[in-house]
Amino acid sequence: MTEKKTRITGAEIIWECLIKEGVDVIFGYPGGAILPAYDALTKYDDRIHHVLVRHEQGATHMADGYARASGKVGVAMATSGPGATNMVTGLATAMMDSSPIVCITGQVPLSVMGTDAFQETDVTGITLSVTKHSFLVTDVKELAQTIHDAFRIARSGRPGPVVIDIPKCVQNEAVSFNYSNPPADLSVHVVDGAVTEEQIRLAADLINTAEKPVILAGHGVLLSEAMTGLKQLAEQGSIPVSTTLLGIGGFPSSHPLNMGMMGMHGNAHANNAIQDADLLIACGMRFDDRVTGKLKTYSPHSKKIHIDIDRSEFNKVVPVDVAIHGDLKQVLWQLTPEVTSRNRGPWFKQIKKWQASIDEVEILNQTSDEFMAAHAIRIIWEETGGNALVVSDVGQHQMLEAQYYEHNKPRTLITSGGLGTMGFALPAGIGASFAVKNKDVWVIVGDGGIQMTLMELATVVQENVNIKIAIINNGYLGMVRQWQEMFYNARYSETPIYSPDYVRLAEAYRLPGYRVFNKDDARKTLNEVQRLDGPVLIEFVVEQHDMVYPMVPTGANLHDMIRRPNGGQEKNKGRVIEKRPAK
Amino acid sequence: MKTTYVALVRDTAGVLNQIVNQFRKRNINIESLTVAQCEKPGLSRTTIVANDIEPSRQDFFVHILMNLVNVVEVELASDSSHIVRENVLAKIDPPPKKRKEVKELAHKSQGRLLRNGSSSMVFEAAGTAKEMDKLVGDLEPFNIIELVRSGRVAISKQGKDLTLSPTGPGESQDELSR
Ligand SMILES: Cc1ncc(C[n+]2csc(CCOP(=O)(O)OP(=O)(O)O)c2C)c(N)n1
Ligand SMILES: [Mg+2]
Repeated sequence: MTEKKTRITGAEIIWECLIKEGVDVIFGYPGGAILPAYDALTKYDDRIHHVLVRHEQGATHMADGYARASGKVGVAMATSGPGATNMVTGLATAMMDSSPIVCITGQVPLSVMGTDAFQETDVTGITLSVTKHSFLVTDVKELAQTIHDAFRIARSGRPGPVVIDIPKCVQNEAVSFNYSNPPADLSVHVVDGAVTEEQIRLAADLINTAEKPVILAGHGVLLSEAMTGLKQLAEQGSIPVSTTLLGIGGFPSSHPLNMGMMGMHGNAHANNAIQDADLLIACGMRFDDRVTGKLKTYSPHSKKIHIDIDRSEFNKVVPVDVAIHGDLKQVLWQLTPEVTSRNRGPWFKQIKKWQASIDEVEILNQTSDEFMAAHAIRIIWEETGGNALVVSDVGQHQMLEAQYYEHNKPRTLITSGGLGTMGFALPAGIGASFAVKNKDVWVIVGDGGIQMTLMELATVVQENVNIKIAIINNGYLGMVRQWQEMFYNARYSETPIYSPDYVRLAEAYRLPGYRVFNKDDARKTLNEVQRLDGPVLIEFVVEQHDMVYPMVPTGANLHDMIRRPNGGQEKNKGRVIEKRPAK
Repeated sequence: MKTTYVALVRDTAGVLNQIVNQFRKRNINIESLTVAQCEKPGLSRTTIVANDIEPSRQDFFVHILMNLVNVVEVELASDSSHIVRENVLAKIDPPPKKRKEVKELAHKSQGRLLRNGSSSMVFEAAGTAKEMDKLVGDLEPFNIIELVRSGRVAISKQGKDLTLSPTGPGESQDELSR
């Protein structure tokens, strides 16, 4: 091997290493402590595309959206102090949803560190709880290895965010850099699973003797790319599947064994099946409180198999009978051949019965010409042929998206599940669109959430990002309103929310804007905008009073769901926000 | 329940913060924490004694700590698996006529006097936490001015040269979870 050694600066090493890690796009915002890196970027910008964001939180969500859409590590960059602290929400979001991102922050020079220097913050300290790991690089000779380690940590095992904090002096220092010698793969240890034959046999026995099994498919299915394995297991054992919010797309929505989403706003028949099951097979999910309801009464009669790459998830909240620590895809390969095919007629009959009861109260079957958020989302599904990559924000529209937009493919729904970060969708959608060039990216966002990060509309235009932004405007912080209606005696404290004129806002940002008030308009407009290349904003002005059903109140039994009233929702209990868009 | 973990960690800045944070963010008090370099270069061994961890949650912390990048190995120290010791330093100021008794106590408790000044004495001893509790009680009549306990350190009994009986010297079975 020829040794090619050159002296380059830490700042240059950053870009060299990013390129080596396969990075071709990065989301960031410059500032004093990261200036050397930005200066060095001018030598590399033919190989790495830098997206100038409008707020560092946006950079982290973009990296996150990119990571979730591509399966690769997303990268964000910011300066020290306020730049770094602005990243905290995005790091926490990625941490909760096991999304692999690397955030590079500038830091004040080592000579003044710890003196409350201008724009100094303890970045590794602040981010300790919201990252998988955070590095402070104090020696330029360790920089290349650290960057390599950071990528490895971010994507290995259970993925997550990693911070690399690099003092300005380290970026400036020159060192001889060995191009031909990639860093060794281990100065960090990575937790791998250890699956035993015994565990596989125990699990297979449970599955083969169960009468009423249910597979719970979580985000791990996507992260481990275990879609095929999951389908084989479900089909081989005739086992119905329910997904978590982040598991959507891991099992085709149209598959006859798919019962849809579980949990607080999950399908009633899925929740009922989980409660009545005699076996749960949890695949890459973590029994979040939003999917279990009251733990004491959660699936009380079932044995539980839990397959996960993170051992600390076993027995964390739900005690399990067989815990298999390993990569889901590989575990399923081993497990499925041991599963015998079974006729589960009575079980499916029971599930069908539960399912019939939800159809009765299905909003799509109710005859009314009211334009509800659910209709808007269903129409987006129809008009996009179910083929879009949807990035949803947080709130009612997020749950309605999960219910009314059917996803048959993995990585076609990106949403902030664990942290529930409003403002996630627009920047995450921008990031996602850099990962998928051949797919339409749709951002579905509420009138509350869009106002949290709408500065990134400028990024959309500057980068001519091909995304369609659907604002579901119900004049309310709808999900909070829903809780106020149900649990706070309809006292709508601080939930009516004023919006700007989104069409004119779009115009101000120089992007096409549309507003629709009813189903026909919506269809027509969607048909039209789908033919447009480049970004579009569409505001859907929908009824204010609709709610998401079914709903399991916090702390209630999973089977005690509040169902949609059969005659439709009672109307206009709250103050109507003035200055709503007039028809 | 009092729980003792022994962890092998990378000897690097921030590693203790990372470990402690896992307890702090779950509002668990760490009763004692010792850390020092060990037989493996670049690594330190730390003994962590944490309060109020339900028996069903003890393993959880093993895995949570193992997930940390700078943590190489974690053991849950149990009565049967580990020898656990603690070091006590006590500065005392006994009345002159009681100084002889202090010497006797030192002898009896396998401790020793590190300093025998005219105004104070420094007493050192090591043993199980229970023995040290008792010793501190025994020292009380001699007017303790300052007391320092190292916190527990634990070593596993397993290993190739272990020919001793499973119970080490001065150890009682309920010692660790006391
Ligand atoms: C950053 C942040 N702040 C507050 C919340 C609490 N919250 C959850 S949903 C919601 C309302 C969202 O309103 P909107 O974006 O209009 O969506 P809708 O529910 O009306 O569809 C709020 C305030 C949150 N999840 N994230
Ligand atoms: Mg709203």
